[in-house]
Amino acid sequence: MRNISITKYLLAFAITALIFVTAIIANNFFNAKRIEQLRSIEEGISIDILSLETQFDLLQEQSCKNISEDSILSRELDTLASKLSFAEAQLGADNSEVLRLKRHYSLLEIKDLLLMQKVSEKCALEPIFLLYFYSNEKGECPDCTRQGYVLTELGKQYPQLRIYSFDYNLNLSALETLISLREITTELPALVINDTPYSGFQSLEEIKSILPELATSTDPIEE
Amino acid sequence: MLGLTLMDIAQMTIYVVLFVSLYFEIFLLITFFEHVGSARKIASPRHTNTSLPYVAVIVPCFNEEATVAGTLNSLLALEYPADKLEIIAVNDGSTDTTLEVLREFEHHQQIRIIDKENGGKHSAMNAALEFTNAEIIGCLDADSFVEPEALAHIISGFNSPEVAAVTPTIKVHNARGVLQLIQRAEYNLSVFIRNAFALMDAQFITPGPFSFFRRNVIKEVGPWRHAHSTEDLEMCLRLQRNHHKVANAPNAIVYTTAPHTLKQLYKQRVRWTYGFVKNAIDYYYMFFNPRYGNLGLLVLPLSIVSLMSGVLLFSALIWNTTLRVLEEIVRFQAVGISIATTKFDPFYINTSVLMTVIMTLLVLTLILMGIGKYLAKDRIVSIDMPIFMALYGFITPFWLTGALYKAVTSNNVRWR
Repeated sequence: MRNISITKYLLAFAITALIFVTAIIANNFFNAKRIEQLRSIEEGISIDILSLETQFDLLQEQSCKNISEDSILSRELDTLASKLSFAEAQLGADNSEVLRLKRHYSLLEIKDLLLMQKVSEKCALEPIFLLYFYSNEKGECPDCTRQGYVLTELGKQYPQLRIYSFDYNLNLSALETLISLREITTELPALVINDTPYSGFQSLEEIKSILPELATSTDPIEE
Repeated sequence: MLGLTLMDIAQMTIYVVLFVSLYFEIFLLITFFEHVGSARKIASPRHTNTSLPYVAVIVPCFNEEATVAGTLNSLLALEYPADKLEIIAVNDGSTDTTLEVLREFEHHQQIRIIDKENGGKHSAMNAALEFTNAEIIGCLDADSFVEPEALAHIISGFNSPEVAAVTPTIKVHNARGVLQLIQRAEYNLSVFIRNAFALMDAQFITPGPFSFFRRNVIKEVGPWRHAHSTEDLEMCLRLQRNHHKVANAPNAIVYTTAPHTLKQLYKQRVRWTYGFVKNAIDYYYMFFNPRYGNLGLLVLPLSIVSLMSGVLLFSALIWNTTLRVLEEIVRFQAVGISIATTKFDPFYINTSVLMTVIMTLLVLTLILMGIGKYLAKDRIVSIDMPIFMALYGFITPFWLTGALYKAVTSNNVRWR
């Protein structure tokens, strides 16, 4: 029988466990920071929308000079979408905080959409609206990944295009109303391009052909 | 199955493997720092000429015409009394001009040459054993070279009468190219591991290049065996089974010629790994057996775990890479070539537990390698380290898988 130092075995175990626990605590800490940052971005966007709504109400029909196509849906909303999707991957799609942030994000999108439609009408702007309904549920939308790539690319090429993405299964009454108003079927991905609904995957070329004004309204950004 | 999916099980296995790997590295570090300072000092030669034992170094040769002269010259240059050192070169049925090269050394009084039919390295060792009465018997592969004071350091390792064998520090000779640089870093890591194992009394290989044994112990445990072409591993396991102490002399430095092509490296490593697996099966009763101390409880079981984890982590890597490639194909099909325009944002830094633990493991491995370099008297930080970290994980699984396949199908593996 040889010497075995039980203390050393236990000490090594304790240090290893400590490293794992530290990694878990650090990860939780950074995730909390991320959620905090997402909340603050959402709050910022919320204030922006409210401010524009108020500005619009104040001015009424008097002047449209401070309002342009890209006034609300700034890069902030895109940044939020991308960060939210990263947080979703890190924390899991079922995380209650992620779900809450996603609901809030969807609400902000709907508010932005409604306000922008109102503003466009009054101020004779012609923004192009594209609504995208997807699903993260396994097997429910095999083409959503491809559709996502197409829309990201489209957004990169045409920044004037206003893309609003919605998780079809998000439990949110405002979203459900939007889905029923826009007559979105369960066949996903589903798009609404300037008020016309389309079901199933739409390629880059197909969307461009639906929207000939896209190419003419503003010069696309060349890669 | 409690609602667990295959992915959940795979992820849990990865966490367990990472925990065990981290535990092992920490255990080795604690062991090393327990004895810090003694590692290099232990082997300082302090013998008088009269107290030095009579030593025989056996050089088994099979088709080594290119390197054997250098090997013998380095042995002749050893700082050890000539009348106490005997060099026995055994030509193991070489089909090239090895024998002619050996004959050129015949005039040296210290060198004896044995010519025999090919029978494998173990047979060459045993043939030489019959020809000598030296108290300490060692081996030097015919593609290796020693530093002049290496033998004196090895002999110092025998100061304690309970030490039955002493292993050296092995370095890669004249590393050139990516493959040899990776091996240089790997050998440096092995220097640390071998030293830590010795401190834990848990070495299980007495490597071919320059390991030495007490003759009476070899007589007691029996001669070298074929042992699935890894006689150096089997001999060490046999010594451990008989509760003999195997020490390490980190200052005894020997240089070995590392394979410079992937094919050679693959062949060598398949032989080593296959030999380990087969010998592990032969000595299964030592696993988890407290009678064999740290070797039985920790080192042997974890060596098997590390084999398995190599294959497992590689499978995970392949799986993730495949998913990524498929994703890129889908993206390409959808939008053609698209350049990503993401800016750096700390928000996106991966802080997951998995990533943190993997990074900790990599940093610890670098520290262990650095200590190995310190023991081997190399520069502590060098270019081979990042190359090793970047590529080693990708090439190891090939021979691990190859060796496991051979172990399962039990194909024969040649020793050279």
